[in-house]
Amino acid sequence: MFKLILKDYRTQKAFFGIYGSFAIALSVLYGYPFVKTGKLSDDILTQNSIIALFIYIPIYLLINYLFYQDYKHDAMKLILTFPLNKKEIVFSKYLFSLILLIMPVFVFVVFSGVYVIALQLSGELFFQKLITLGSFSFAFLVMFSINLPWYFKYDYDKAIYFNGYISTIIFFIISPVLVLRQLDNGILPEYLQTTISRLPKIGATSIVCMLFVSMFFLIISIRLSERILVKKEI
Amino acid sequence: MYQNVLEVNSLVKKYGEFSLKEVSFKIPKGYIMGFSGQNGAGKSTTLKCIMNLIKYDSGSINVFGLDNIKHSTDIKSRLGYVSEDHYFYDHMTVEWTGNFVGSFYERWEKELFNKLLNRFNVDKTKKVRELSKGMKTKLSLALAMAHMPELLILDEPTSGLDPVVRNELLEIFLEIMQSGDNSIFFSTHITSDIEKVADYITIIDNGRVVVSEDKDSILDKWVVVKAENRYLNDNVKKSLIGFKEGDFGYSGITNEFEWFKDRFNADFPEGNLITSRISLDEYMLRVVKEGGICV
Repeated sequence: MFKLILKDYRTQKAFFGIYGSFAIALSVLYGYPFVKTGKLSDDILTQNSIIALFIYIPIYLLINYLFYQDYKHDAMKLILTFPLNKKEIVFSKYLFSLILLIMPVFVFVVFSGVYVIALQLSGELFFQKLITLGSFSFAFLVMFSINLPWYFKYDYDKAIYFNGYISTIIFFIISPVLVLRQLDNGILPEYLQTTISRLPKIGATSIVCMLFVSMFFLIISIRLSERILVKKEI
Repeated sequence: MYQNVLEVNSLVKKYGEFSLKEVSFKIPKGYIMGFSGQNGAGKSTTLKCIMNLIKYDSGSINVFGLDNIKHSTDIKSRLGYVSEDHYFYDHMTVEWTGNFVGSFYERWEKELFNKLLNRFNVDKTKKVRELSKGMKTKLSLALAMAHMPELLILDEPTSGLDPVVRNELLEIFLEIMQSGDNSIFFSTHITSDIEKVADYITIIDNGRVVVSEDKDSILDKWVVVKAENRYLNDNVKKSLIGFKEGDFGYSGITNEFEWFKDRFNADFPEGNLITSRISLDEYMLRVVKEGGICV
């Protein structure tokens, strides 16, 4: 399995340099104002949008590119002739996708932590930032848990259309709602504000709940992809 | 210890409108079997079933005496497979491809891989996309052979290659067999390739095995007979398979030559009968297709 992950890394190596530098640069540039803001207001919305655009979208594109590479080279037809079991093949794809997600989030957290310590900012801001990152990450996990089985079921060129719609709905509607729940600044229309305010306040408990929900989606997704690949005829 | 490196028993696979119908054959250890049939006869489907790339509806496949589904991983580590279309990361180099494929096999011999590349004149620094089709086939073969498989399964390995490269590949097959323990199962619709290197032949037509025997038994059994048209009557015509009549003479095939000769001589005592050994091409054309024979 490790060899398959390494293969995915090697086939995308050229993009990693660009992507890695990009993630670090973003962390350095945006980490500072993100934690410096004294109050939790409009700035968070702006900054979260930046995270979504510049961190999660590249992750999403990289995961898509991973499947595109396999589709382009008919790699599954080659890999299935190797002495590997199909569960390993599926699991390695998920693991690599998770690594793609965790790495930049980790970099963001580290840089933000460094700023908090260096600038002696309040721990509450740091915690708030973790919640924001967590909300996006869990939404992202749910999104790719729904996306990935389609890549195993259908060819990339078909799956990408479905996944495009699903991703837009889940990620760009649900995750902003999760983040907006943290705001109480009256920037939203009243009816939406009322709806959002009825949602449970995002705190440590909510994050744990989201973690369980996204893990549940992930496990179901892995099992489903395994079953799809076992039944799939190449 | 297994005697047959591959055993396919009553294999049935429905694939849309096409189906494999009770396909059965076996390859004794240490031999080459050619698997022939027209395009769409079911060769690739059978090979994919053996490789556990597609599921079959009924029947059984044993490779090295092991069930090919239950022991898929073990079996794949002991065989080499070359598909008709070559699947590579073509933006990567030959060397990278070798390292990548080799990492999945415990018995991978990097030195042997490099030796095979040299033998095949494949430049390991080149990117795969820069290789010609013949070179890609050679690369596939080197990849399939570098972990020293006990069985090589090749799907149309010579298809689309020029006669020189084809001949070279067939010679490589014979070299592989010199070790004595290896076996090769290769599909092709080029009958001359089978005639040149195979010990056993399995012919498939429309999803059904028409014949699966050792090559010499098949080719010795059938005789091509030719005679002038004036030595032709209904009895003679009915006794021949794949009968063809021209302006001056006729020809046909029989697997009961002595019986045919007696009948011919009885009807035409003065008749002159010319005989020749059947070629695999003629066998395929006249016996399998025109004669509709199922052995």
